[in-house]
Amino acid sequence: MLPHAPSLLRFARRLTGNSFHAEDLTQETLLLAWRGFGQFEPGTNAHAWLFQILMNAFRQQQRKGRTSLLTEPLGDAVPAAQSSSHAPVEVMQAFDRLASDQRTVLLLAAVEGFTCREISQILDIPIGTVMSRLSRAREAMRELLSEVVR
Amino acid sequence: MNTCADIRIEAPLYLSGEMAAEDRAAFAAHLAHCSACSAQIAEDRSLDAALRSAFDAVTPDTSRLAQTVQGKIAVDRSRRRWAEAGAIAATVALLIGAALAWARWTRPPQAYADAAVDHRAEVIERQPRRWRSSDVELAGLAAQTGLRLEHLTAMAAAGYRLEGARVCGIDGRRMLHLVFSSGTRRYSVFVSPHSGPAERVRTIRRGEEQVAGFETGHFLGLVVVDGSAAQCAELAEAAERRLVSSPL
Repeated sequence: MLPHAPSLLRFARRLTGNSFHAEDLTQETLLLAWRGFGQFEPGTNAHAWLFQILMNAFRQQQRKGRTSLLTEPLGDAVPAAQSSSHAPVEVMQAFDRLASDQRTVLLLAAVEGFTCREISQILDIPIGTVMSRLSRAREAMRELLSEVVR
Repeated sequence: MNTCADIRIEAPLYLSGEMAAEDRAAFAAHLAHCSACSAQIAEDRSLDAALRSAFDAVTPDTSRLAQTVQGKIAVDRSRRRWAEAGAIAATVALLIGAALAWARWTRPPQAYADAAVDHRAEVIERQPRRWRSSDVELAGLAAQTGLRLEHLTAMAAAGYRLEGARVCGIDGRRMLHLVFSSGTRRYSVFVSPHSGPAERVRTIRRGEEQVAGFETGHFLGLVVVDGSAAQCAELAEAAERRLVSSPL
């Protein structure tokens, strides 16, 4: 479980927009996973299962008023330019300007490598919604980055 | 045939590799002759890669988090072990309690044992006791237990008659000991008023004696015979039936 901690923490930071709450949420996720390991179906995607637990824990915390959905983007440290056609700083700036729901699905798809079906299960939303949010997120990224180029 | 609009809708499934082979082939065929869609998909791939690269370059430090989680898991494990130990202890206590309750339930009541001892000493071994046998004396004794002489005589089984009676102590209870005789065989009936909670009525063997209890709601009776359990139960049922059918 612990090898998944960096991905979970990264996603939790994006969800909560707060490092303290993100650590708290990730801790809770890992403990819930440890306690409920018997419910994990061998052969299924453990990474997706952990993200699903994290989302459930996040919704639970939201109901209790402990955390709120991120409204302001995080100013993550951005690495130096690499071999991509876009500088990482520009990519992250564009990403941070996306709507919250678009950032979430794009992070899960592009960074965590989940399929649309897995994202649908993690976020508990229809797969069609995942597809349309992803399309809008990528379109917005293209537009934002093309503005930078101009 | 895919249109450009279809491509825009289905692009997420294509990029995540979720498309069925046939759909994927049709999608790729469209890209092969549509430079706009092909460029868009290529740019999406490139953006995804750039985003992944940007995120992967900054790995959050989870060492403190891992330490905390491992600590909490250790506490959890310890609690689980204690809970398991507690459950085992509770089960053992429950089993011991059940065994004690079973032993208590199956142990013959003291009154049955006392009645058997009295019958053996006073009826079988004929140890000297002062028996009452006249109607007047018997009526006097019957009155002490809220009965009449007719009740005592009515309890006799067919072929038996009331030979004598005396008051005795059975398990701390004052009971009337009646001896019924057929001339060759004798059996005892112990009877006393009973208004407490219903006691268990059953048949037990103690040595040579067989003891059967009965309850009428007003009286508690014990029949003792040096015979079989069936014979004893039959005598007890007959005594109970006759006692109940006689008006108080």
